[in-house]
Amino acid sequence: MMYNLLDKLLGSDKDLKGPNLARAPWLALDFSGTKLRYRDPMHTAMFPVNTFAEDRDIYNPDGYERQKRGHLARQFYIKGWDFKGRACRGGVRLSGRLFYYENELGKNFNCFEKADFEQQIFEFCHAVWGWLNETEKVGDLGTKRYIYPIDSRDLDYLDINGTRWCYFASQAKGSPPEIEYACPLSSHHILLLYFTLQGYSGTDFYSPETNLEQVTFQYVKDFMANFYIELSDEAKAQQAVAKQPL
Amino acid sequence: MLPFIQSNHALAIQAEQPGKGSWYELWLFKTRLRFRSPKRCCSLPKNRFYASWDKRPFLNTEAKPRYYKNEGKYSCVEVYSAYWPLATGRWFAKKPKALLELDLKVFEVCEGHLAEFHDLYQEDIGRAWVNKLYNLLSNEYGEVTLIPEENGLFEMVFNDEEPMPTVAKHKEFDIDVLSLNGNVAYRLSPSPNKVDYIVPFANGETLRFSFILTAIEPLSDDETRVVLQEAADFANGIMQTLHLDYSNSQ
Repeated sequence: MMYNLLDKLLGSDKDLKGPNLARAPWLALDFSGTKLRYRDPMHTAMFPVNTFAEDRDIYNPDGYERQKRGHLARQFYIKGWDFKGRACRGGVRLSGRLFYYENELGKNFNCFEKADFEQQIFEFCHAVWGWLNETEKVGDLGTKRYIYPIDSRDLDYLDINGTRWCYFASQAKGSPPEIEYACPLSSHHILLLYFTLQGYSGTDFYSPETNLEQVTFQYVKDFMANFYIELSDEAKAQQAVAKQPL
Repeated sequence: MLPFIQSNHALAIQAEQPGKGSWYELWLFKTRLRFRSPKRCCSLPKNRFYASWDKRPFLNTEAKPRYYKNEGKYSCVEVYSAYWPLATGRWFAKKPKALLELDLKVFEVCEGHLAEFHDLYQEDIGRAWVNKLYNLLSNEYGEVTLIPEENGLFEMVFNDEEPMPTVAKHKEFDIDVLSLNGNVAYRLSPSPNKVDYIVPFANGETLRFSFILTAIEPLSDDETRVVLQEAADFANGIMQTLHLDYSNSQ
């Protein structure tokens, strides 16, 4: 009785609260004719935000950063959301990134083709986590300290609001996962949403002391359920010619 | 009758009955461990130091933080400790004469041995690993030089150029295989005052319940026999309440 009252007044770690997606404002972006629309809850995590989502000409190489493999990448969105009970126990951080394979222009390359798309995903994973496993080639997990996709069996696909998304997870054993959702935006662009789930200092992500694991996974699912993409006519044409689409 | 008001001249464990203690509950990642940990009814003498630890409610056995890694041998981490005094006398004048300690640890097969000991639930593999583990544990101090001193203590010498010769100490332990509420367990007694239960909770990971009996005051032969029997029954009573609930995702 007393505990119930305290939980109601002060919050409960077994019933963590994050942002209310249903009440969050919509954010609409125009990426060279391709329209993105999603809920944009207020940033509540304790890190500064220095990227602000805005309409972009995604074919203009300015503003991208050149990557080691030759393609271009830029972060277009970053926000973090705390999950609170009696105290702040953990959170979800989302980084939205756009990849432009300008170096593949003029070649037989189309991100709407499953093989080309997946190859880029594997190379991205290798570039981000491969060094942790001391591996030098794509498709090899090396020391296996960090688990990430290395072949098609590690990737899953899901239709969300008419868009075919590829999703996968990466993590060190026993640590909170990073969940990635990716889809092609044009023949040479891939959109990647990179969710980092974390327990803050003193809170183990998987501990039954909190429902952090359940509530953050649900938040990611709900966030994606509110994500809409409408491809430009040009992108639709590129998608239509794909022989083996996603 | 409640144990603390019992008139008791015989040496007995001053605690609740093992089957009636409060539940000790710990999550080993997604596996729930439960057993009854009886409440003691008598405290220790003031000059007796007792170190305790308790990892409740959660131990991340996947990420393994703060594990002690004995390279090429095993990894382990302390989980829980408790003690129960054995005393005689009336409730107002209880004087502990011996102590039964529980030391609960997680022991894990090291990576190099995983191919050989890949499934500790299998009796022959589990038994072989327990034997190997106890040989490793008992030989640990054989790797440093111990120089006896006049006061009966030993000086430990590290980084010495010529260590004292150590005798090959491989020993075959007498290991019983038990079933505790459907969980396979290995029981052995590495020394007369000690009984250990090793319970696998994953293919390469085990819980080690170590019950150690130590005398606080010198005991007669009869008393020794009584306390050993009391301690063994009490330890067995606790182990009979052990439950491991595996999550469906494993």
